[in-house]
Amino acid sequence: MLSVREQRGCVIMELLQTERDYRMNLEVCADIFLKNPEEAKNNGVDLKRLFGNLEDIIDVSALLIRKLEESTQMKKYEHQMVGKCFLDVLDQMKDAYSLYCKNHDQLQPLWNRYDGKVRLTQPDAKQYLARGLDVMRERTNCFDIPSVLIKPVQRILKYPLLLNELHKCTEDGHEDKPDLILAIDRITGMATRINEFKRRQDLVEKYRSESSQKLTSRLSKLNLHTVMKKGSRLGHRISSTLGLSPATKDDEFNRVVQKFHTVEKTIKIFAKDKQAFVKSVEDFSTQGLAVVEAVAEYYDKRNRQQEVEQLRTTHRVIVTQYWREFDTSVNRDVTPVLDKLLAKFAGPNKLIAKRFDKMADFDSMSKKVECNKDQTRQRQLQDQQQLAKHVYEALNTQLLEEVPRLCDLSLQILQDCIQAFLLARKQLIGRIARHHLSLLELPLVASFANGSAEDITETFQIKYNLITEQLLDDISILPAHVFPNACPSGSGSHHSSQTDLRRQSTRNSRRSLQLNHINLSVAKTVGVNTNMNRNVQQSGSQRQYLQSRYQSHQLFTATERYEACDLLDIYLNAGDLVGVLKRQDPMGSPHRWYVDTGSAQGFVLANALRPYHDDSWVTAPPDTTTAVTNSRPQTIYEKPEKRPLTYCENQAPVAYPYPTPTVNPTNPSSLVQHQYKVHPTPEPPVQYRHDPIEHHRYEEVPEDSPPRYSRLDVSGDTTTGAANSSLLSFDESIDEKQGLKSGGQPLYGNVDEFDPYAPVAHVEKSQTPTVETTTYHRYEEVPEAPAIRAPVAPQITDENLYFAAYPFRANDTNQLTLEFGQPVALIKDRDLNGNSQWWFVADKAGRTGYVPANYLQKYHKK
Amino acid sequence: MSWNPLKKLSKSQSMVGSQVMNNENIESNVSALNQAEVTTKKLYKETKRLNDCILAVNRFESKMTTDLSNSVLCQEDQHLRSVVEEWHTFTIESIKNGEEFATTIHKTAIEPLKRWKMAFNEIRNGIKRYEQIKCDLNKYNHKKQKYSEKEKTSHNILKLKNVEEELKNTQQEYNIETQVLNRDIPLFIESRIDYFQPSLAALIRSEAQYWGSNVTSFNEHNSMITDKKDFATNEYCRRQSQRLDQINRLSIVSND
Repeated sequence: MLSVREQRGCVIMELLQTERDYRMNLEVCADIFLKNPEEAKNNGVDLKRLFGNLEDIIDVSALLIRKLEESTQMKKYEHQMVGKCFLDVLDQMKDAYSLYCKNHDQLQPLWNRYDGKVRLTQPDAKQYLARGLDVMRERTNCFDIPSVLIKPVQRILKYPLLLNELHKCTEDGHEDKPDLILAIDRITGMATRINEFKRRQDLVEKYRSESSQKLTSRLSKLNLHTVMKKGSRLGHRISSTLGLSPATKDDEFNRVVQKFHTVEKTIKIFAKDKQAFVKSVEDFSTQGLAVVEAVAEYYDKRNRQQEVEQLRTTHRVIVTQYWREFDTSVNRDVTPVLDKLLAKFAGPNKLIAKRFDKMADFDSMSKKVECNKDQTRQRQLQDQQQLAKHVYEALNTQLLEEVPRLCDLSLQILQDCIQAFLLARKQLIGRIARHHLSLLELPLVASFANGSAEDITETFQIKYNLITEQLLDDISILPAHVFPNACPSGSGSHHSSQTDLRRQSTRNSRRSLQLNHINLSVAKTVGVNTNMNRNVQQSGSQRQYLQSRYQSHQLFTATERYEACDLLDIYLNAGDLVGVLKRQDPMGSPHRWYVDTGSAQGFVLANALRPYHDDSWVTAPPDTTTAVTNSRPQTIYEKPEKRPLTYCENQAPVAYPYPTPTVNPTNPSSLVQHQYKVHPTPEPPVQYRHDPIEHHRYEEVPEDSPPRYSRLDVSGDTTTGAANSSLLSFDESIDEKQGLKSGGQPLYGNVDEFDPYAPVAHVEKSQTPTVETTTYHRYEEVPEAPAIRAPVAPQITDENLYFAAYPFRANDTNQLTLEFGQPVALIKDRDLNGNSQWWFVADKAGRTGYVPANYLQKYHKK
Repeated sequence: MSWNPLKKLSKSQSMVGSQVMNNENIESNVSALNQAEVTTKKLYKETKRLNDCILAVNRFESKMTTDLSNSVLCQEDQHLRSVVEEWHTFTIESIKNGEEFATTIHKTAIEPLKRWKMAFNEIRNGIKRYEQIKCDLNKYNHKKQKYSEKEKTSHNILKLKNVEEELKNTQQEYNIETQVLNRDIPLFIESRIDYFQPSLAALIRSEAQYWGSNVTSFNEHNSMITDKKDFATNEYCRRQSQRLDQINRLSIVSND
C-alpha cells in the first residue's frame, strides 16, 4: 500500500503524463492539417469549421503543462501546488473549451458530408482527410479524425475526475488543499455547463425535428401519456390565462419571441407583396404590348406608320428585355433568398411552441407539488417537477441565446433584399423611360405638348376637336351628337344647322357637289391619308383668290405632292398655289408652315414649297417656262430675315454684294418696311418703331439653328450609351434626363399660345415677315452713315452687254421689266442664292433687277 | 343580322345593273366596316385593360410599402425605417404619376374610342335607312308592275301615275342614299386612323411622361438605395449566402 504522499505523486504524474499525450496528439493533428490551410481549401475542407479553435486548446494545454511542471517537478511534496495551476489557467480554459465544444457539437453534418455519408459528397475532401489520417497514424495511435476531434471534449470532462482523485490523496492541512477544492468546484461547474449545453442542443435537436411527421403517424403515436400531457397543458393554459393559476413569466423571452414573430411576419408579407407587385408589373408590360398590337391592327394597312412601328418595338423591348431582366434579377437576388430564409423559421417556431408546452408542464408540476398532501408521493413529484424544469429551461435558454441572432441576421437579409429589389426596380424604370424618350422625337409626337397630364390632354383636345369637326363635315351620315365637343366656337353656326340628324338642307347642295368627286376620291383615298381635302385639284378661282388675297412674297407653290402626316396638315398636289400665313408651326418649328390653299388652311412642310412666281402671261419658249418657274430668284424681298444679318455682321453696306433695288414708290406697302430693314434711313418713320413685327419677334427661330427638340436627341443618345455600361451609371443617366427634362420643359410651354381656330387673325401679322430679335437690336445700333446708296449705273461694255430675246414683265420690284431687244448690262450671273437661272442686270437708266437668264442673249458685234 | 341589308337585297330580283354594282360596293364596304369595328372594339378593350393594369401596379406597390412601414420592425430599426420612408414617398409619387397616366389614357384614348364605337352605330343606322328605302323601292316597283298589268281604267292609270311619281322620288332618294353610303363608309373607315392619331400621340406622350416622372421621383428619393457599390451581384450573393450559413449554424434551425 502506497503512502498517501506516494499516491499523490502518482496522480500528479498521471495528470501530467496524460496531459502531455493529449497535447501531443492534438499537436500532430494541427501540424498535419492546420499548417497548410491553402491545400485544405483547395480540397474543399473548411478547416475553421472542422477543427474550430483547436490551436487555442493546444495553447491552454501547453500552458497548463508548463505550470504543472514548474510547480511539481523538483519540488518537495509540501510545495507541489496543483490547484493553483488549474485556477491560473481556468479562465483561458473556459473560453477555449466552451467555444470548442460548441463548435464540435455542430460538427456531425459537416463530417458526414466530408466522409461521403451524405449526398453532397466531396471526394477531394475525403481523400485529403484520409491522406492526413495516414500521416497521423504513423505518429500516433489514433483511430480516425472524429476520435481526435472529440478528445478535448473528453478531456475537459476528465479534469474533475483527476482533481477529485488528487483531492482524496491530499492530506488535510496541505497547502494545496483549499486551491484544489476551489479548482474542483469551478472546473466541475464548467464541465456541467458544457454538458448542459450539449444536453440543450440534444433537446433542441429532438424537439426541432419532432412533429414533422404526418398526421397519421402522429395519431398512431398518440397514447395515454401524450393525451394526458396535452390535456393537462390545455387545462393549465386555460386556467393561467384566466389568472386562476400562477404561470411562469419570462418577459425577456416574450420580448424576443415577439420580435421574432414580427420579423417573420414582415418578411412573409414582404415576400408576398413583392410577388404580387412583380406580377402586376408583368401584367402592365404585357398589356402595354397588347394595346400596341391592337393599335397596329387598328391601323391595318397603315401600321407601317413609324409611330406605330416604333411604339411596337419599344413595347416589345420592354416586355422581352426590360421586364425580363427585372424579373430575372428579382428571382435571382430576392425571391430565393427570402424563400430560404422563411424555410429556416420552421425550426424556431416549433421550439417556441414546445417551450410553451414545457413551461406549462413545469407549471402544472409545480402546482401538483404544492397541492400534494401525500408525503410518499412528494419525492416522486419533485423529481418530475425538476425534470420538467430542466427541459423548459434548456429550451428557454437556447432560444433566448439564438433567436435574437436569428432576428438580426434575418433583418440584415431583408434589408439587403429590399435594396436589391429597389435597384432592380430603378433599372426597370430607367430603362423604360430611356426607351420612351426616343419616341418623343417622332413627328406625330414632337408637335405635342410636353409637360403635365393636363397639357397633354389639352393639346389632345384641340387636335381631337379639329379632327372630329372635320369628320362631321366630311361624313354626312354621322350626326353631330356623336362628337359633342366638335362644334367649335368659330364655326358653331355652320354646324348648328346640321345637328339635325339628316342635315338635309345643307346637305343636298353640298352633296351634289361632292358627288362629282366621289368615285375618284374614294378610290384614291382607300389606303391613303384622308386628312383634309385630299386630292381635290385646285380650281382656277381658288388660285385667283389666293393671288388677290396674299402678297406675292406670301405666295408659294408646292414642288411636290405633299401627303399630310399630322393633324392639321393639308394635302397638296404638286403645283398647287398656297398663301403662307405663318412660317412656323405652333411649336415654333420653322419646318412646318401654316398655309392657305384657297379651300383649306393647314400645315405643310416648308421644304415642299417654293416661292411662287406668276409667269403665265409670258410667251416664253416652252423649255424655259419650267426652268423659270422652278428657279425664281431668291430675292432680298422673300428672305428679308437673311438680309439684315449679312448686313449687320459686315457692319458696312459695301460688303453687300449687290446693288439694292430701288424703292418702288407706287408700291409702298410692306415692301417699304423690308427695305428699311435692309438699308435703314437716318430717321426711321415713327410708325416703324411700332411695327407689328415687334409683336412677332418671339416667334422667330433662327433658320440655321437646329430644331429645338434635337437637344433631346443628343442627350438621349448619350444616355443610351452611359446607362448600358453598369448598374450604377443609371444614376448618371437619370441625372442627364432630368437635366434635359427641365431644360426641355419650356420648349413646349407655348402650346397654349396657339389657337387653331383663329388662323385668319394671323394673316395680318404674318404679312410682315418676322424678324430675329437680335437682328432687330443690331439694326438699332447701326450708325447712320450707311444710309441710302444711290443706285450705281453700271458700266456697259461689250463683255457684259446682253439684249432681251423675249419681253419680260417684272413680277415684283426685284425684277426688271424688259422690252424685246432692250440692251442690258450683266452685273451678276446668279441671284443671291447662287441660282444661275436668274441674272442681275442693269438697264441704261441704271435700274437694276433680276431677269430670267434664258430671256437674254449675248450681244455680238458684227 | 338585321343591320345587314345584303341578305334582303340579294334576294331582290329587280336590280338594275348599276344598282347591283352599288350593292356590291356596299357589301364590301360593310364587311370592311365590320372588320374595322372589331379592331376598334379590341383596341378599346385592351386600352381599358391597360388602365386597370396601371392601377393594379399602383395598388400593389403601395401595399408593399404600406405593409413594410406598418411593421413594428420599421419603427425599431432606424436604417430600415429611413429606407422604407423614402420608398414609401416615392411610391406615393409614383401612384400619382400612374393615376395621371391612367386619367390621360382615359380621356385621350378610351373616351374617344367609346365615341368611335358610337359612331359605328350611327353608320349602321344609315345602312338601315338605306335598307328601308330599298324596300320601299321594291314595293313601288312591284306596285307599278301590278298597275301596269291591270286593265287600263282611269282609276288604274291614276294609280299608276301616283306610283310612278312615288317610285321616281324613292329612286332618287335611293340613288342619293347609295351614293352617300358608298362615299361615306370607306371615308369613315379610313378616317378612323386620322381620328386615332391624336390619341396615339397622347398615348406615347403620356407614357413617356409617366416613366419620365417616375425616373424623376425615384431620383429624388435615391437615398433609399443606400450603398450602391455593395450591390455588385457577386458581392451581394456572397453576403446573403454567408448570412444564411450563419443562420444554418444556429442549433434552433434545422438544416434539412
